[in-house]
Amino acid sequence: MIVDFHVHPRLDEPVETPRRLLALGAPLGIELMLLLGDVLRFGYQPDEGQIQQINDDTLAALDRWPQAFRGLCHVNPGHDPAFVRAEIERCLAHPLMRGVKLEVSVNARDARLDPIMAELQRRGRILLHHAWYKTTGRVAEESTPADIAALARRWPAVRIVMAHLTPAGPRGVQDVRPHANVWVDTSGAQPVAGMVEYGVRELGAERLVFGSDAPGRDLAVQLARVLGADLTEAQRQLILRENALRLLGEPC
Amino acid sequence: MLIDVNCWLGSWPFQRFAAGTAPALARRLQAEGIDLALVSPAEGILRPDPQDDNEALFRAVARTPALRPVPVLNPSLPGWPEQLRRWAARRIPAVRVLPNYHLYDLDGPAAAALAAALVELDLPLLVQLRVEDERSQHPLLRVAGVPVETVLAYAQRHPALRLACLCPYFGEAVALATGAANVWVDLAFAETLDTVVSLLARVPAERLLFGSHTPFLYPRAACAKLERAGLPPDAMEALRSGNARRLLGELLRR
Repeated sequence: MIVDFHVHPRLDEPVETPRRLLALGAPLGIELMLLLGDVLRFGYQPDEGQIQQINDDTLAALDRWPQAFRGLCHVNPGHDPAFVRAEIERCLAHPLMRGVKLEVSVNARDARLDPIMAELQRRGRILLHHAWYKTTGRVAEESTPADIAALARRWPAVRIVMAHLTPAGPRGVQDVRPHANVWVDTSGAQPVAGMVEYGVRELGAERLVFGSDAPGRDLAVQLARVLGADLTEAQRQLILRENALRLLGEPC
Repeated sequence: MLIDVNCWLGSWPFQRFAAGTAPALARRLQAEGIDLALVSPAEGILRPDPQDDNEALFRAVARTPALRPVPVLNPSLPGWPEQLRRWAARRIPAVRVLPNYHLYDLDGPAAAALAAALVELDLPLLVQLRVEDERSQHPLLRVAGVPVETVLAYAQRHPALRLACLCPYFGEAVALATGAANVWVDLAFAETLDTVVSLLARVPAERLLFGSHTPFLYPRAACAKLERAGLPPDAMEALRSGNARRLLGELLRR
């Protein structure tokens, strides 16, 4: 069994896209996927109504395919804290929701994340946060791995999964390395050779989880960067399955 | 047989390559089921005159028949016609160019002269659109991809030239492969959900080439695109080797 920690549903194809993901994932052994929401559907600053639409779509997929998906609640920390709190409350009331997904609306260093982190700490739930060292320039309030490290330092009791190992690069891996509450998912950009091995060497296989970023990416290609890396079988199992199950609170 | 039209040997300042020698690269490729690969010298990407790197490549692969040397040519240097004639005598399968790294324009006279020379020699041209994802390049080495429009205009001006574009993104691959009859594209950077099936919905199968961009990328990633495509045998054969044979012709035979 393989767990994909980073997939997105599509609001314009609420049934078709999950079906395709499941159909393409099954032959690869991907049996569980974490839905992060169609977080860029409305741009970098979705309003409250759009946030609710994104989460409604994720919740509907969880109801329809409870064996195959788990979900994260997407919020914009720039919104009224009362709305953010209520939306997290609404989403996490669903038994298959596992935490919160943050994208680029507010930088990870911003104090407006603190009420969200406090809620995750109180509930023992995870945060998955986008991060990228982007030579071509940040979009909106996009976070770098250094920003994630700052967040992890402020909230050491919250488990944070930083998205995008390859775009983080060696600098990003070193940024989060001191923070044992940060995991990194393998998604993002091209399957650049050597990055998975580098992540394992510097963080340990216990701190990497497989993620595809499908449907923008190809499940088989993204899986191949883990299957094609020079790893032991035990390391591969940690990345493909065991770490993810522990983070999601699923039986190993 | 699986033919890879997009491989490199050598070193690159921003990435440590696991397979540093020709035999090691051949073993790495063969472990993934890749039988034959066109290989260029990675040092030639940045070196203004890649000739020394090409000669080193010829020596390095001389005893590794699974690797076929494809020299990097910089047509903005005056000595290229003589180099090209010497290489043709050595039966190279193709020539690779990187206009964006060697700082010339495909619209210019040097590239036009190169096209004419290649047509005369019946040699295909491999155009490297990019080496790395632009978003993750070193901040001091930001190199934009070769624009699709420029490549298409070049292909249309030289209809007898066989032109393979390496490392286009998915949308670029579609535009290139449908924009001119003498253009092929490789799979290395093209990616979306169910990549090959999605490409084949938009692009004639005979325009697609298998390319892995090893050792920059994991070779298994490119292989996965083919393995999971569920293609009928004739289409699979075309993508694995048939299209490359048609592009390269007799030049694949040493």
